[in-house]
Formats: sequence, structure tokens, C-alpha cells
Amino acid sequence: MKRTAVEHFEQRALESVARVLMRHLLVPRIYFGAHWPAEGSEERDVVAVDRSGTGDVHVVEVKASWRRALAQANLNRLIQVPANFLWIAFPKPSHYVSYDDESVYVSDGAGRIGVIEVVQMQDETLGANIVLQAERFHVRLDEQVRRFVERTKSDISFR
Amino acid sequence: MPTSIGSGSWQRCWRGIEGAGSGWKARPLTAHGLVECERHDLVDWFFGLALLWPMRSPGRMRAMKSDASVFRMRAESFLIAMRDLRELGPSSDSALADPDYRSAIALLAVHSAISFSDAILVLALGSPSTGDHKAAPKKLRAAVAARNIPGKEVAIFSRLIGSKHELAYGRRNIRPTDVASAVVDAERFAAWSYEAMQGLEGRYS
Repeated sequence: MKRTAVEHFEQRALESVARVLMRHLLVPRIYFGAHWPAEGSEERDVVAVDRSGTGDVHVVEVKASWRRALAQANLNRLIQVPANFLWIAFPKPSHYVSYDDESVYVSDGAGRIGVIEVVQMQDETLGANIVLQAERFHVRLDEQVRRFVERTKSDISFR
Repeated sequence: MPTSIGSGSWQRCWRGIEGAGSGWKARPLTAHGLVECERHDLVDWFFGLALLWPMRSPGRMRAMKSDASVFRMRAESFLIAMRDLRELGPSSDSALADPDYRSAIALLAVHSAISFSDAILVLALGSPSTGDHKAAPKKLRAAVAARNIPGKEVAIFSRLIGSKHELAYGRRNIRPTDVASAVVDAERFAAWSYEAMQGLEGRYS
């Protein structure tokens, strides 16, 4: 089946998002399209578990347009995903957009969705930059992380 | 002749053992009162075992975790500095690291591994390696084997330790491949270390 341009971008962006997380975290395990937190859960575009699968969980959603990514309904849905850190990634807008408004914060506690901009590099590959740092969501996920790491084969690891 | 409980003639025990006249010779090791002891007779073998029990008490474990976290954070500091210096090069390829930083990157890789090893040793035995770094891989291998943790990655640590003298004091220039190899080894050893630490003490975050 032929992929749409949107799907194509979202697939291509996964690698650059993974690279930015590898720079940001310590020897993380990275999973593409993994079911998090449980086997029956939705597939997440990128899941990274810091410190070789023993640390915090980062979940990234990749969208092909910043409008879709920052739509209130999308952010409301993303913020329900259990993770220590949540990120949204999309192509860098052609004009200035302020990301730090209340829609990226959880309404009743600590936590902020981080923003990763995906950019076209000179050699036609994609790069990614963190432009709004994610802030920690206060959830305890030890048991889910342990089970997830045991049952899921990582796409990138340092072992 | 010194006797032993477990794998070596040196055993950890509580500071109180020395004063109890049990035949243990002790010296202070950490701020939390942990000591290393050498036992000189077999008379109180069972007595010694009973005294080793408090090592695994909740209070003792908290103190060991606290000590281990110092080494772990030091290891992470070296690892982050290594990565940041590498990023100053034209790409994330370690072999292309800025020549001005090659020595620093390679040595940070080695020191990161040493500190990770010490964090594991503290969790497993209560004390880090002492003095001779070349002996550390052997001690680490024995420590993880005793706790049923797979330890083939200790070979990576041995390699890094083996390169330390040349990287720090050697006469020849450090080659790009030396840097690339040290970085890969340091990251692989770090990944294994986290898993070993998790096996010893639970999750880190």
C-alpha cells in the first residue's frame, strides 16, 4: 500500500527524534511503534527508557503538521499517556509559534509536554531540536517499565 | 592464617566486631560505619556469619545505596561531559571528534567506567575498588558473579582500564579510532552497569 506524504514524514522523523533523545538522555533504550504501557495499549511513535531501560520513560508523538500536533484535542489525548516525560514532535513552522501556553501543561499538577522541531538538513536528511523542554509528570511507573522492558525488544540500545 | 566467609579473605562486617574480641581485625571504610575486616581464626565462624546479617538490613542497604549513588552520579557526570565534548566535533561520530578534545573524551570514557564499577562494587560489597585500578575488573567480576548477574561486559571494563595508562601518559598521539572505541566501550559498559545496579538495588530515576 502506498504511504501518504504524512505517513512518510512521520516515519522519516522517527530516526531524528531518536537521535535527539540519545543526545538528551543517558544510554537510553529506544522503541518505535511500541505498545506502551501495556501490550493492549496504543502504539506510541517513540518510547525511550532512560539509563538502559532502568530509568524514566519518555513518550514522543510525531505529527506531520504543527497545527495538528498542537491542537487542543491532540494535547489532551497525549497528556493522558502515562510517562515521566511527554514530547510532541513536528516540522518546524515557517513562522514563529509560541509553544509555552497552558495547553502543554497538565491542569492539576506538575508536568509539561516538551516540543521537538524536526528540520530539513542541507543534505536532505532530517534533524531534530528540542525547543521546549519537557517537565516531569509525577507518576510512578516502576512496575510498568520493568514489564515493558522485559517483553519489548528495543530498536536502539547501547548493549 | 586469615580465614574467609565467601569468596575472599577480606570480608565486611560491623565496626562492633573488632571490639567484640572475635578475632577480626577491622579498618574503617565509609562514613556509614562500614569496615573491612580480616578474620584470624575459625572459632567464631558462625558468630561472624550472624554479624554479617545486619549488612542486608534496611538501614544498611539505605546507606549502601546512598554511597553507591555518589559513584553513579560521578560516572554520569563523566559520561555527559564525554558526550558533550564529542558533540563539539563536526558530527556525532566519535572518530571525527575535535582533535583538541580527543584525549579528554577518551579519559572521560575511562573514568566513567571506573565510577560505574565502583557504584556496583559498593552495592554488591559495600566498598569501591581501592588504589590499583587494574585489580578492579577482577573484583567486579567476582562481585557480580556472587549475585548471579551476568558479567561478560566486565571484559569491556578491563579493556578501558587497560588503555588508561596509554591514554593518560602515553607518548603517542591519541588516534580517532582510540576515541571512537573508548566512547563505544564506555556507553556499552554504562548500559550494562545500569542493569547490574537495578539487579542489585532496584530502579534508578
